[in-house]
Amino acid sequence: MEQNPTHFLKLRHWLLLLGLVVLSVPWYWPDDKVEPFVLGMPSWAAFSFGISILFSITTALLIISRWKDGDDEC
Amino acid sequence: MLVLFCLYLCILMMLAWLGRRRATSKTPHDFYLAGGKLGFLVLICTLFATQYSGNTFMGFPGKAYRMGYAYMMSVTFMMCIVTFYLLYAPALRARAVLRGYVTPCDWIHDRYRNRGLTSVCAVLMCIAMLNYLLAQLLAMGNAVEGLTGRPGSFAVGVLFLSVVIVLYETVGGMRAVAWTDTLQGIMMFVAVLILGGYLLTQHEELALLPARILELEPDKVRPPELKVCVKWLSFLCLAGLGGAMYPQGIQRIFAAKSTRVLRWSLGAMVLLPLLTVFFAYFMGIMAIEQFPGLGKAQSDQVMTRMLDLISSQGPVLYLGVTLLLLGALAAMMSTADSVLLSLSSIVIQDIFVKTIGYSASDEKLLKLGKISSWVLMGIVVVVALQLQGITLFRLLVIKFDLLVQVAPAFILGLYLPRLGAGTALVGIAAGCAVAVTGFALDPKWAWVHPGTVGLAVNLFICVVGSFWFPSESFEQKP
Repeated sequence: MEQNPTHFLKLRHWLLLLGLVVLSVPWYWPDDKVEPFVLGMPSWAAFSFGISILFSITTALLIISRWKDGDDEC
Repeated sequence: MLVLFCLYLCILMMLAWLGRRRATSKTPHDFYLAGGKLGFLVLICTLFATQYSGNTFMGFPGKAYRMGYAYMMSVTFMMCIVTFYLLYAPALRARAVLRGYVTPCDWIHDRYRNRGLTSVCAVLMCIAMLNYLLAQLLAMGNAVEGLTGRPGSFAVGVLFLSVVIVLYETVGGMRAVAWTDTLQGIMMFVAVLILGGYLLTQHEELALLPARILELEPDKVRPPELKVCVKWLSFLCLAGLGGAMYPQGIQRIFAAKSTRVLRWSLGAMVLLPLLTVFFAYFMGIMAIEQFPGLGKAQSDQVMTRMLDLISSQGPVLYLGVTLLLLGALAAMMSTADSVLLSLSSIVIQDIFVKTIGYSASDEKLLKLGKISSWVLMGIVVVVALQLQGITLFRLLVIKFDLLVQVAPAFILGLYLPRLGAGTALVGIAAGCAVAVTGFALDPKWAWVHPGTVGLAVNLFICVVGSFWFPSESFEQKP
């Protein structure tokens, strides 16, 4: 089936992005656990940063690979 | 620094003149959208300059200083704005090219054919933009005062820079604005690369940073409590979607040369916070160890203090710091010019033409648009001079709570053909009422922002209303 260029993200893509955003906020991390320190950050902040990297790369890849060009040059 | 800034202002005026020469016709599409010809480099720089104000580089470090490592969540916030664009940009971009949209409310008007809804959306957007413009002028005045070191230079700075902004905006339109954004974007990018490179060379020192801060202020190293996390998720939703509703951002989606240029620009934009926002965040964290025990007002100056420390360590770093300071002031100006251009287009095209029904030639409408830029800037300058020294944080916060209420009508209009203007209007009214009431009461026990609750109510009304009170499908309208 031909992909609709204006609906290029499916529900599973949106759920993946939503999941990554929710994980980027450390609501699940134990209160007193800060070690080990990674790259100048406590472990929970480094993990949160890692998820943010994953979120941005996933979004960029989805934009580049799934959004098809239309014939719309002005 | 002052000499460099004067040189920068001269270049701005030259770009405005070039922008005027490159104009192909005297139409709103050419003036407000550069004829839809923005290429990759200019588009990404102008998107960058519009989304990142001076506050990102000068204000974020202060917040990171006060909040500690928990401010890491700010990195995701900037990414969310780009992600929320994906909810509507592909569909709206295709329609905008086909129908020749100039302002975001062109879509609302075309979709719903309802003057009331168009004017309500236009007014909400104007309130948010006036608020944003005011914040930029106040920041510009403070920056000039800091730069010159003279207490009375706030007013002179605001007046002089406002005149410069309106001059090049009215002379060159979107081309001048986008080209100056490009210049500013390149400056900031080079500065962050130089200073970020310096931070990388300090990795052995930085590895010890959390342990040292843990001794000084342990709360700034521990993970945030659950309430802070929930409030932050609410903020990501509110400010991410609100940020994606800024008219100046939407107009850049219309102004892209092609979909290919737009998607590559957005693809790159979503990666930028990893470098830019993370840099600002980490400068604030480093300042906790360097300058412990600062109060609220002093902590807002931590970026300047950190840059002072770094600039004394070599000529390359001095260049990086100069570029960053210059870029931050330029960022305030470029955000202000983008907002002003968008504001004048909405006032003329949406309020005068669509709502009041004023009719005139394209040339006359452009002249009116330029006059409105001077008048609007004049009003905001007067307000800024009156409010000098007063903290407006709460007033500035409400802009997202109100602007985000436009989102359901704007986005769902693309996907729910039976969503009618009446339902959308009721949704906006309910959402704004909840947001304003919550904002006025300001309950300390609330875990989410009033605008987020208002958005949920608004969304519910729009979705349920489109099934219970379906309107004629917009695809069937002429």
